[in-house]
Amino acid sequence: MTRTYPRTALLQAISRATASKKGFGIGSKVCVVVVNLCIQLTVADVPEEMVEIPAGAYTPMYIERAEERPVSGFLLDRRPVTNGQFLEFVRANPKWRRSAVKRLFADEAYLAHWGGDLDLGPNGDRIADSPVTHVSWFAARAYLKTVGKRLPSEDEWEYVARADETRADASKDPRFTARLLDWYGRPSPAILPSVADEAPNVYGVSGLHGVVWEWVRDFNNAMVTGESRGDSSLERGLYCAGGALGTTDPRNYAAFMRYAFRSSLQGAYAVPNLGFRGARSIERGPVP
Amino acid sequence: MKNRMSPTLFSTLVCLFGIVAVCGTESFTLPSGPSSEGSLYELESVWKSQDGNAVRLDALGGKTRVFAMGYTSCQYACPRIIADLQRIEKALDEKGIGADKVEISFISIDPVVDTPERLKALETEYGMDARRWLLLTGDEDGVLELAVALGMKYRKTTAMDFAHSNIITVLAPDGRIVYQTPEIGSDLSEALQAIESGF
Repeated sequence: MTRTYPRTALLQAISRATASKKGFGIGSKVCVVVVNLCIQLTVADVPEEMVEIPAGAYTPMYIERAEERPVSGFLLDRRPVTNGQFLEFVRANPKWRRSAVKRLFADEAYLAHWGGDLDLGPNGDRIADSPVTHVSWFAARAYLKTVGKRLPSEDEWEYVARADETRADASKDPRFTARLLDWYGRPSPAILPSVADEAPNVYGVSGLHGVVWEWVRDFNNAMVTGESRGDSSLERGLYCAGGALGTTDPRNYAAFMRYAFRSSLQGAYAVPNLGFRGARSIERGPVP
Repeated sequence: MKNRMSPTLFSTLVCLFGIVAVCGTESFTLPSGPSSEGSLYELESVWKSQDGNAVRLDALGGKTRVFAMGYTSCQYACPRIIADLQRIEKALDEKGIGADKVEISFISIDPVVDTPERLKALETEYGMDARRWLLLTGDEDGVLELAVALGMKYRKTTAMDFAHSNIITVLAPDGRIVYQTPEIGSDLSEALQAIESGF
């Protein structure tokens, strides 16, 4: 099946049509029916737990990458993967259990907050619906492979992470950034909140900010030292007490922290407050 | 600091992330560098050699191996990485350590451009001894996995070019990372020591 309209655009069209007090005749009812039909057609291949992110472009925060980058449409999980879901995964895949995992793929902290291989620990009931953390990049990929998904790329993740509850791009709004920094500065609770508790952004995606940080597929794309092209000064700005000077928008210090954090990671690290969610590319049907 | 974060960066990040992630719950410090405990040969990716043969990464055990990643159309650092690998080779030759004990691999991060034919041309251009040199090209996912396992950073910067860290890795016959140097033109004696310590 070929996709004709992004679903979110259709939904926005509906809400505009229904919000409008005038011009509500037969025509607009027909329009809504047609729109609903289209939604049903597109919904068919978007799993319930995912949303379709329409294609677009965004400008990453670094000067070097300051040109707008296109992002193709893709599917993204509404919520991060939970402890409960990950438990099912390790139950079915013994080599990913805490006591069996190869050190190449996960360090000693892997699932350290659980009680055992197949035991979420004394708070099991309370954390089953919380985002899983203490998972390595390799483990996240292995999990997602079993459900036919992949990690989102950094571009994809950051593209969606600019959204707040009402706008696809809230990143220029100092209040939005302030909210993120407020979270970054707050102690995290011993029991992470359930993934169901977070308000969805305009795409219907929740928990990108405010609960855990998340792995991206290409977390290793920023040079720390010894870059081959010898132009690492741009990235030096990120590390050498340069603060956010090298960024396209110094106000976006929150994004700066995410990039800095990612570049400090290695694929086997399993750390508190770092989880993940799945993404899927949209397979284009044959052009009729 | 080799392939590690600078102390300043490290403490900054520990500080940042410490505040961000762990206040009030538990504290931790990020380890540095890729895992040295795991075997790289746990990776199941399949590659192609300069002769077009399929090569499974998990079948490369049994010899000490020297790995570096780059791409053949690289004008900047890669020729220098290869020169460093050749310096290592020369030292091994002089010490009588043959290809039966140590092999050298240049592994492409550019699956689109670097066909086995391109690798073969590289072998010819640099006069690499085919018994000693195993040049590999793979697919995007295999490259990403291996690069992550080696603690290597890279990204595509233009249609033709990549920015990437310059790491030479010494792998023990069981696939453990025993030594890494990210510095181009650095003193390679430590790498050689790591290689020889295996015998």
